Amino acid sequence: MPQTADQADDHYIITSFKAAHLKDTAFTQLVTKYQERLYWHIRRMVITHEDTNDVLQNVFIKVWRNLNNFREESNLYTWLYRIATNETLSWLDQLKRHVTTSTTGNEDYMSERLTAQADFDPSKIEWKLQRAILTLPEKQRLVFNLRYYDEMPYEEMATLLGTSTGALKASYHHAVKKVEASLLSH
Amino acid sequence: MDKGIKITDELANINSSLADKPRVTPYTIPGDYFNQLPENIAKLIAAEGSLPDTKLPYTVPEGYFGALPADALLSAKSENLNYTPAQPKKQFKLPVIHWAAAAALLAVITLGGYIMFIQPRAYDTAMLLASVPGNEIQAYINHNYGIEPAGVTISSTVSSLNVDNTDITKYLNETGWE
Repeated sequence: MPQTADQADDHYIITSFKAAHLKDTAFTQLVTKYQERLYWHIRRMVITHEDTNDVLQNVFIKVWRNLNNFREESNLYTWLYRIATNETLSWLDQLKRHVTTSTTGNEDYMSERLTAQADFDPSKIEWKLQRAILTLPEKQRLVFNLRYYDEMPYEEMATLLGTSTGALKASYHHAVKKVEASLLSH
Repeated sequence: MDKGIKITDELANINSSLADKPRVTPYTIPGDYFNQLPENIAKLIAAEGSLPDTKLPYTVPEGYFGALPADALLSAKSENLNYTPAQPKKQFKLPVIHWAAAAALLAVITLGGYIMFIQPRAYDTAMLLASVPGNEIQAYINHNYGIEPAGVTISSTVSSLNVDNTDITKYLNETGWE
């Protein structure tokens, strides 16, 4: 049973979606509610808006196809984040395969994508921070973003990523130290 | 999402310099992106729903597959009635009489060749005899007729021996020309 107002809202969306005459409305509510959180979750990983939009559309299409089978054994947002994370990591794998055939490495290529962003200013701390985060390995970057920006509890992260909370805490704190070191060196 | 966690406090507890950094993502997005996204997603879903599934749109006459085996068998059999096996290419054959004629012709040619080139010719005896030196004939006669060479002069001729040319020729034909 839903324990919070937020969970109650999610339960209503899911129940409505399974009723044919309410399906479209429920889905629009779901997209409206979660679009920004999922967008930023993806964007921090893939950097460009266009690629983020492609990944996000794929996420919502998968949600449309599979929400009927969602059993509410986990929170809706955890389920949505899992789909978004899997789609993002798949996209990054494709990017790595593409970059492997070119002359630049993956980290350099991601850095180039960052510096190509509109309003990029290497003197501003927020851009320096993004650059420092890009030095992290992919999975650690994911953990750092989920904790630092989305403030996701370790328990939720453990469900989402299929990892123990202890390992996630260690990974996050190690990431913080690496980001700090990177900021100091630039 | 439960926002009960104060990330900045957590970072401050571990003396991280990130605790006082602005937690903003500096990326920009198109102005009305989030207002339009639900509608854009809805259009995508509608397009997705309108896509044909794996079924082909073609129709098949009712009962087609039920009747197909019998129809195929019938077609195969009727086809078989009109079936003309491929004929082997005609080969050139000579009748037996032709082979016999060819064999006879070959025999004639062979026999003619033998007569012309292998069998000793029927020489003109007189001409041949005239070409043989007299002393050789004399020596031959002396040897075969028991005439002592001392009684025969080199200058003597065959005619002086009273031997007829016909006899000589006859003799030579019987005994050969060795």
